[in-house]
Amino acid sequence: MTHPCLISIPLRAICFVLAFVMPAICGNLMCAGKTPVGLCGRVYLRSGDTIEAEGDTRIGPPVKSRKIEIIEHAYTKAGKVDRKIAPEEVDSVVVWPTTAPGRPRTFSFVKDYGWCWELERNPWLTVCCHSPKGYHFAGNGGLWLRGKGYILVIKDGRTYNLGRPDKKISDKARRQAMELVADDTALSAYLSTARGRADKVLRSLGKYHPDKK
Amino acid sequence: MLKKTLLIALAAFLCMGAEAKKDNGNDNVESEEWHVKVTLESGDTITGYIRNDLKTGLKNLFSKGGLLRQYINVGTEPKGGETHRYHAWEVKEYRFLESTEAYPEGAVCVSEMINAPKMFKPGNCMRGFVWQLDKRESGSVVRWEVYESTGGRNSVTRIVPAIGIKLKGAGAAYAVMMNGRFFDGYLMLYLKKTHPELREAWNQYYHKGKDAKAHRKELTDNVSTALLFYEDFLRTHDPINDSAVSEESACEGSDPEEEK
Repeated sequence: MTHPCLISIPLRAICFVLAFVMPAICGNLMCAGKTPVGLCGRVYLRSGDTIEAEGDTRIGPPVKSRKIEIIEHAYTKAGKVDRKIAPEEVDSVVVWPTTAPGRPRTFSFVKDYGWCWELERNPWLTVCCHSPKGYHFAGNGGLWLRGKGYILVIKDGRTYNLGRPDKKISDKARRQAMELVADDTALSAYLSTARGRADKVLRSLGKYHPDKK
Repeated sequence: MLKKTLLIALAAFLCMGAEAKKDNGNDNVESEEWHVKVTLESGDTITGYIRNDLKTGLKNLFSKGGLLRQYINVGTEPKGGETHRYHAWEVKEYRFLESTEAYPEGAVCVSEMINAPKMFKPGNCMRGFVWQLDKRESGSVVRWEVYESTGGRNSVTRIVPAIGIKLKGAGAAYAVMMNGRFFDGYLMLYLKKTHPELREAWNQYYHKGKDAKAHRKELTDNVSTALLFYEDFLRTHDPINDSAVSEESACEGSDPEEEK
C-alpha cells in the first residue's frame, strides 16, 4: 500500500514549479505582453545626455514614482521594454502622443510626490500638477489626470500643495499663493481678486518676478 | 416606513439647501463653464449657455435614442431669460468656449449619425449628440454611452463608454472600443457590405497580420491611430463615399422624419 505522502510529493513539486520556478524562467516573456502606452518624446538626463524616441522607439508615460521605460519596436510583436531609467537620473521628460506632435508636455520628478506635470516654470519657482494615479494622453493632445490631482508650487527647494486644480480656487490656496509671491506687488494684487478654476489662476504664478514692483 | 419617509424628506431638504447655497455663491466664473457657440444645420451660429432643464432631461430620457442625447436647451443668459430647445437634426455642433487641458481647443459636442444596432438591424443608425475627442482630415473620433449586458445567469446591464470613428465620407460613426476594450464587429459588418477593400485592409492590420495584437493595443491606447491607418489607406485608394451607396445598405433607419 502506498503512503499518501508519496502521492502528494509530485503534486507539491508541480505546484512549486508552477508558482516559483516558471515565473523566474519565463519572467521576461510574461512581462513582454505588458508594455506600457508608447509616447513620442525626449528624456533629458542629469548627466547631460538626451534619449530621443525616434522611429519605432517610444517612451512609457511617467506614472507615480516608477522608472521611465524606453520601449523598442513599439507596437510590433517584437516590442519590449528595453531600458528603465530611475527618476533620480532624469532631469525632465517631454512627451506627446503620436497623433499630436504639436502638444508636448513636460514632466519632472518631485520628491515625496512622484512624476509631476510642469505647468509653468521660471527661474524662481515651478508650478506643476501631480496626479497620484498617473496621466492619460488623449489623441488630440489633451492631458487628463487620473483621479484627484494636486497643484504643487516649488520655491526655494520647498514644495507647497495648493489643492485641487479642477475646483474653484479656495481662499486658503489664494492666500498661500499670495504669500509665495509677496515681493511681486502686481501679481499679488491679481491673485487677491482672481476667481475661477485653480489651475488657471495659479498658472499666473509663471509671471512671477521678485524685483517687479 | 416612517424612517424611510423621513430620510427622503431630509435628503430633499439638504438638496434644496445646497441649491440655495450655490445660488448665493453664484458668479460669472461658474456660468462660463456652460458658455457655448452653437452652429446650426443652416450654418448660423448662436452664442449662449447650455441650460439643463427638467423638460429637456425628460425628453432625452424618453426619446428613441436611449442613452444617445437628442435634445439640448440653449439660453441667452446663464440664468433666466429666453431658452430654446434644439433637436440633434437642427444642430451641427456646439463648442464650449472655455478651453481645458483635456480639450485644448474647447470641448466639442457634435450632432452625428451613430451606429445604434437593434435586433436583426445591426446597421441601424441614429442621430444624437456625441463628444468629439479628435478631428483629423481622415475623420473624427467620437465618444458616447451605451448599455452593456454582462450576460450569464445573473446578467447585469450597465452604462459603459463607447468610442467610435467616423471615417471621411462615411454615413455614420461606428464603435471601435467598448468599455475600454477593442470592439469592431459592427464596423467590420458595415465595411463588408459597402467597402470590402477597406475591410480587407482593416482585417489584415488589426486581426490577421503578424503585429495585429500590437496594433489592437495601439488603438486602445490611442484611438486616433485608427485614423492614421485610414490616412495610409487613402494614399492608394479612394475615400469611402456613402452618398453613392444606397441609403439602406449604408445606414438603416436613418430617415430624419422618422427620428423626429
